[in-house]
Amino acid sequence: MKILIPVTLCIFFTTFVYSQEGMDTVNFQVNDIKLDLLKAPTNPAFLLMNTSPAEIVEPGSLPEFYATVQNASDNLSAFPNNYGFSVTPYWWGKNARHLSFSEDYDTVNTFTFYKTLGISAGVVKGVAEDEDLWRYGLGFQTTLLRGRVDKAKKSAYMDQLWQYHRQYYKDIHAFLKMNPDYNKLEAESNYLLLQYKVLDSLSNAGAIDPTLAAQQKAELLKNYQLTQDKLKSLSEILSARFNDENRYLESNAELDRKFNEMDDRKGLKWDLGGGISFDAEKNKIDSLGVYRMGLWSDIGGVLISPDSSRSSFSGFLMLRYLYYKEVYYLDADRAGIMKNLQTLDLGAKIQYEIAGKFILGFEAIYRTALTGSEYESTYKINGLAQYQFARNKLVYISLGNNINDNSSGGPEDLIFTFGINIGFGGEIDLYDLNLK
Amino acid sequence: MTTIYDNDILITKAEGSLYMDLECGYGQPCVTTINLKKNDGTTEQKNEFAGNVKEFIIGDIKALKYNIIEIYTTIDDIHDSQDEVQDIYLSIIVYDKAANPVSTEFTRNTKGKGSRIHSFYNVTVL
Repeated sequence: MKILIPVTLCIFFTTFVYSQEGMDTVNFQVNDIKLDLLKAPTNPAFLLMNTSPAEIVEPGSLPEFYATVQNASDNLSAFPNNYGFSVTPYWWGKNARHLSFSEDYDTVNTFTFYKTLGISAGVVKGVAEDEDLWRYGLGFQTTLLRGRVDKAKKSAYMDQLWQYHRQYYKDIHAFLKMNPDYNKLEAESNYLLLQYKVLDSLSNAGAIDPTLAAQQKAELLKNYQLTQDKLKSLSEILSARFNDENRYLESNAELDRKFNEMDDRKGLKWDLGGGISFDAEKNKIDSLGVYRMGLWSDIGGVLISPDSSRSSFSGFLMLRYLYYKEVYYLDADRAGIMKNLQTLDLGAKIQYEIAGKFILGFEAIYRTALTGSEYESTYKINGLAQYQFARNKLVYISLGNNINDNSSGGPEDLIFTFGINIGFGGEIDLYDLNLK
Repeated sequence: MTTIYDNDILITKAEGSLYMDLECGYGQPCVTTINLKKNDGTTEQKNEFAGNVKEFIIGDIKALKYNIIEIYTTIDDIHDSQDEVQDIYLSIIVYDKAANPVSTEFTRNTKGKGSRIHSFYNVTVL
């Protein structure tokens, strides 16, 4: 196994135009360090089928799901031959309807399974250039730990929601009060209430015949209900007009920003996914055989992040098991087919950020075969050290290599890179440019 | 953005407190203000709270009678899926000790996050 270490000096001069304050280039390189190879896929069924149905439906309810099955099966008269679905059953049931915000956005990291469970499945007829070959896939993906919501950020978001809520009330109330018909109906409603109150007092004091009082109260109640219904209809019309005319209320950037900040969860996150796919020649049960199967798990997150600073320490561990019915491989000497290959991938990633200026990141994946002596174990590493010495200006050093999914020849060459990234841009408010 | 109105009349002979249950579903955040719209045309804020409540005391029935309780709720739709059939749910029940209830309930689908639902539920206590 050869290792090549070219050193490249790269100086980049770039100009940035900003429309708003941001994190600028701090995370420019670190974003490339991801263990995507091992991360649990959203729909494992289609990944393991190595093909996808022409249409994958995502029904939002059980009746909608039945409708898609009916449609794919020609009203249940034939077996679907090109159909796939991806569903999250929790959101179909009563549990979701009764799920509260405080439970869903908990400041404690709680264990979940069903709430985040996604199921994917599919069938395709005619794969691997064989018109009679049917392939089935079934998979799941769930998040066992979603991380915890930061208390201070949740509080800041709720404060913003309160501010919005109060402002809207003030504005809509003022708008309704500008309408003479609304004021007239409200005055009429209050007058009827006062009349009812007086009648009730007289009736309770025995100053009026109870039968007559009951008749008059019924009449007042009828008129009152009518007035309330008119007020409701008028309020709906006026509110619709208000909502259309005051577009600034439709999108509240500050509220969205505070929500997104809160939604960036802290602590451990744990994803789990798995699936299996089958082949069946002419769709016969006796020809059914496993084509691929796999299991993914990744756990980690921002583990240390003091509220008072922009420093944090993140760590991730990842594991993947894959079974292949057969794999074509190619190395320097030969090409061939490995049957019943099972591989195990183990990965780790750490990232340390100090004061939003200095970042150290490292990730590594080790892949080994549980079966198949021809398969040479391999690895992938990526490392980065980066320091931002001024706005838009940073220096970094990185190293890395790659692995080839279908190679048995071990890891690829290791490459080191050193770079300086200098930006000359300033902040320009595009709104004030008044472009014509 | 949608603004919804509903109203009811609660006729009660019970004494003591008037209660309410309020539930925002599908994990959506909501905040609620309770105002007392008096029959002299003035409005007084009685209470406000965030999230869901059960057996929440609105006030004493005697003080509330012949007036309107305005329950104003804002729900912020934080779901971003375009495929959800329903993702907004609000249920409000107002009742006395003798369990005479009036209620309102609605579900909505807002097709993606970013919008808000404003609900005004007016209960006249007689």
